[in-house]
Amino acid sequence: MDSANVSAAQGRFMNQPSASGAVRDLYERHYVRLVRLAVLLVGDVGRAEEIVQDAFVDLVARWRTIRDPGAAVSYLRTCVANGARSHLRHRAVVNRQPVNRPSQVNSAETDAMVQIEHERVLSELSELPGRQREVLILRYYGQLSEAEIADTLGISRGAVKTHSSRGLHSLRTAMEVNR
Amino acid sequence: MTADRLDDDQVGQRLAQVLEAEANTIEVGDAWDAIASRLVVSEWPSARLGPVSATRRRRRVLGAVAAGLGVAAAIVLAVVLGWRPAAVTPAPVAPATTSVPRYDAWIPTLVVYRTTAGEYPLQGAAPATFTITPERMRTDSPDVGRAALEAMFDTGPVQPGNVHWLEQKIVQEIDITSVTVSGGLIRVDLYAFSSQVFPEPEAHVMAQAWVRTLQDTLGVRDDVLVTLRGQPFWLYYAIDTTKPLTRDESVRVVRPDGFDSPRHGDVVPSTFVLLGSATAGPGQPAHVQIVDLDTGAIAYEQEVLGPADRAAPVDFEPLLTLEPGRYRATLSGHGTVDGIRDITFTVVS
Repeated sequence: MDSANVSAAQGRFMNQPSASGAVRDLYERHYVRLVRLAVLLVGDVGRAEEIVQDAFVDLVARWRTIRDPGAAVSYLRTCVANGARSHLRHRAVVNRQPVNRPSQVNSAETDAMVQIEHERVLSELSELPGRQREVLILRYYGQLSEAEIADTLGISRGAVKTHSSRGLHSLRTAMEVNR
Repeated sequence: MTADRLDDDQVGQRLAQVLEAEANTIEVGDAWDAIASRLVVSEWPSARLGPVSATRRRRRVLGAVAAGLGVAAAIVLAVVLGWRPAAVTPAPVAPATTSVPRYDAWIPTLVVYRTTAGEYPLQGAAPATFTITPERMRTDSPDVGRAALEAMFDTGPVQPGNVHWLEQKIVQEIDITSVTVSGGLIRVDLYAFSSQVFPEPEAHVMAQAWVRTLQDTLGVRDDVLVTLRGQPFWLYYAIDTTKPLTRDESVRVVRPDGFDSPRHGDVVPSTFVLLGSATAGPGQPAHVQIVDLDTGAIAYEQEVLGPADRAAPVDFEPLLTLEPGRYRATLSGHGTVDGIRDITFTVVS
């Protein structure tokens, strides 16, 4: 990319008072949700915060290559997913412990049946094979498309569909018990 | 309970609701300070620069190579010519090391601007919050524009209240390729520049420190075009350097009453320039006095006169020649902002 194109690309992304303002804006709008996504993936709030903070630091380091805010958000999500996978791989090697889902804190759910189903779905989700769980969380909480999940996880779109279908099939049972 | 089968969309919808509800129970604290403290902006991956600049690192490498070649050549000569005991000669006397360079009338005084901006990045504040302060110093480099910019980063401010770049959590770094004046512009090309991310108000004031440092040192009012390896970039990640930086007269300049050079504790050559500023006005001159600490005698005294119509900061820069010894300099001015008004320094021959 020549300098004119670099400037033009930056100009698109920098259509704000300042670049630092753009980073801050991304933080304000996406940090909490990214941390929650990471918690759902790794089951550890402290580690999740580290992963997301690392993602923001990486984003700034690659600032010049980011062309628009949408790409920046996508980059952050990919960093979070990769960071979570790296952490889970490491943890699997270190202690072979199953991934714990995040602890329930002051649930807003008051309906007993809904709460039971909620618990059962989360329990079933935590028992799924790692790749199926990642695909479902990225799809249904991270709101990534199949193509984005494929890019993030480094697998084909067909594999994403397969993992998604198998994961949903397992969860269906947990949901239908209460119906 | 029913035996209805859920399709994938329904299962997905319910899963999304469960995940959303579960995620909303997760408390997430503010981490902006933690992120900001880690932000280093650099133009290439390995540009996390330590206390030794890239230029100095290159010089060290070249020095090591040269030293190695020198040793190898000495060994070859010793083998070829045979070993002879060295003649006993008096050790050369090294010139006294001074923290102020020897005076050279051909080299102008640097005017290095310090700022109160940039103490803590990414916090943001109104532009009027920040001030800039000129400090004057001497250099032995004829490349004064470059020397002034380097001094801005490589030396701490003498006047209190300004940011000391070297004491930042993450070191700011600058590696200058050239500073030239041509085509109606002061052109600064950088080989490397590393900084934290700053909000625009801080970045603007810090950029004004560049502009004024270069303009006042070089004695021109041309705009300043800054490039990184020939290309525009985002200075402090807030200022697009595609356009030259212009002088902004609205930035508040603070000039405390105090000495700029020598600094307290400096060792200076016998001939040096005393640099500082004092506020004086009609009937209210400021006074500079230097006392020989060994004899108690007044070695130098000056009355600094101000404008005829108002009190204002006045720069002074007498060229002095003093005998070797320890001295104390004091300054009495009438300004409301105190700088360093009392210093001791040592003069060596």
